Amino acid sequence: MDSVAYYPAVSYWHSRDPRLKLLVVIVGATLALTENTLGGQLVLFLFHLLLYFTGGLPLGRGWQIFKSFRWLLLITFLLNLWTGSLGAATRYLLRLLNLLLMSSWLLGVTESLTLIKGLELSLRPLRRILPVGEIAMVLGLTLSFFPLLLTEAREIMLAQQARGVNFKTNWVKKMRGLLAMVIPLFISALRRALEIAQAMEVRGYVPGAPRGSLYELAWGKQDSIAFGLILCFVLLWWGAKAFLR
Amino acid sequence: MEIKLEEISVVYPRKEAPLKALNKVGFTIKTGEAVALLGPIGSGKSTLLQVMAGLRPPTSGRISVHGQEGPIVLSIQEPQRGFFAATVREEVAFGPENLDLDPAEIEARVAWALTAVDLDRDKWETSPLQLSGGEQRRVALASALAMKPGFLLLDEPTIGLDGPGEEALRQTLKRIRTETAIGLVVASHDPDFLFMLTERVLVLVGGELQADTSWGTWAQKAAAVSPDLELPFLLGLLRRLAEAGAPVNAAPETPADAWDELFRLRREGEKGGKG
Repeated sequence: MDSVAYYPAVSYWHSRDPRLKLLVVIVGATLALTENTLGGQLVLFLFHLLLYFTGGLPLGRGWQIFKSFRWLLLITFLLNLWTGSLGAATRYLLRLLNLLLMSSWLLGVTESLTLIKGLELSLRPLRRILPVGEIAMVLGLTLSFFPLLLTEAREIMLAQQARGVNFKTNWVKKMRGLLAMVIPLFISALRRALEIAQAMEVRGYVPGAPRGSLYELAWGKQDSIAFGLILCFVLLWWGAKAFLR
Repeated sequence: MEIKLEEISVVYPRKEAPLKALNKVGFTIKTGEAVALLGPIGSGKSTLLQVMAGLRPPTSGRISVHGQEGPIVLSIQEPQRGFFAATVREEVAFGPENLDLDPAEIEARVAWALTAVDLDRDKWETSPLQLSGGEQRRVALASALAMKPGFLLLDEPTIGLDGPGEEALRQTLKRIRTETAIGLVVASHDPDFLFMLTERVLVLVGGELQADTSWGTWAQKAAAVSPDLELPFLLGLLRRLAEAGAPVNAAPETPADAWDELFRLRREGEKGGKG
């Protein structure tokens, strides 16, 4: 999962506003999904590589994506080769890679909580019809729950191994071992959820009530410049499409 | 600021028989006071604290709060199990955020609270889950203090702490008391910890308030109220000495008075030995 983890570094994109980066992803993903020529997908691929390198992300991370998703990529390629042409298959492969690169880039250059904050602020105009603050809170809690569950799972595994549960040998024993782990894990997850809910309540959390924030997102001059660049890119893209047609 | 409880009862519905957790409990506490809440397990201490913090509506009775120096904040048992934020700073900021303060004020409060509990500055950006047990308790205390409570209610704050950890907690709480007009209510099984921190004793047994008194008076009637309740070591010792016929005041109000009493006894013993 290294290919989607936050990559701490100092780069142009690390210091940009999360709202801007969300916009980049929305634009990039829309173009990747709607572009139907091989050339277009190639240009997008180069564009995504550019984002990747200006974000200070290492080459190994890109390779990691390739490795973790190799089966999905291979099947997509083969299926399209079977039903269409080599060109179509390559196009689909590139489209998928473009989408993967995009998400890996976003999660690499943006800390998850900042990302959620950005999402919350971007959705703020919708707060009359959507519980935006609560959605953001739930997303944040879900994210912080993963490491907790992982630690808990490790502890339960050790405890069960100490009592003779076998996680290693044959298939049937493995399944039984898994069961011995899933049940206590499920119970402890529920209990932990209740404890966190109580801890939030005693510190005055009221769903729906106005909340302050430790961090303020500041949209800077650099963000506006980047915004302008993205706008230019989209216009250029459309212009080139219209011209080539 | 004061909290006034009148005839507070809490009944938990149970299939077999409803459980009476609190039965007509009434008292008043003011900011500036430090109150010990004593009682055996299952005597209703946690329930009482939850009622005082406004987290559990009583089945009957009245609770009223006068004055607005700050919120009433409860620090629950093993508060570190409720950690969820990515960094210590964010964990501590959660409370002030809920008070809808502006970022600068939240920032200032987080810094103040973390300094008050003596947490190394280089730990502020780490995950609270990676800290040691003692450090986690400090973060938990800081996250309550950052709300600038008028009353701070602590439920078993010494569980899982070692000697030095307990000492540090007591020092922090004493310092907070001299710096701010806070009111403290501390429920604990550790009578020594409470004796050194508080002046007033509330005793709950079976959901009923059995005593609302000072430490000196409590030392005299503890045995009659409940044999399960341990006296602080110093008070127990003086009591034993008095029972053995030593000429001591077995009901001092503070640890300092108790030590004075012991030193006096020793001086008199030395004099007697020489004469």
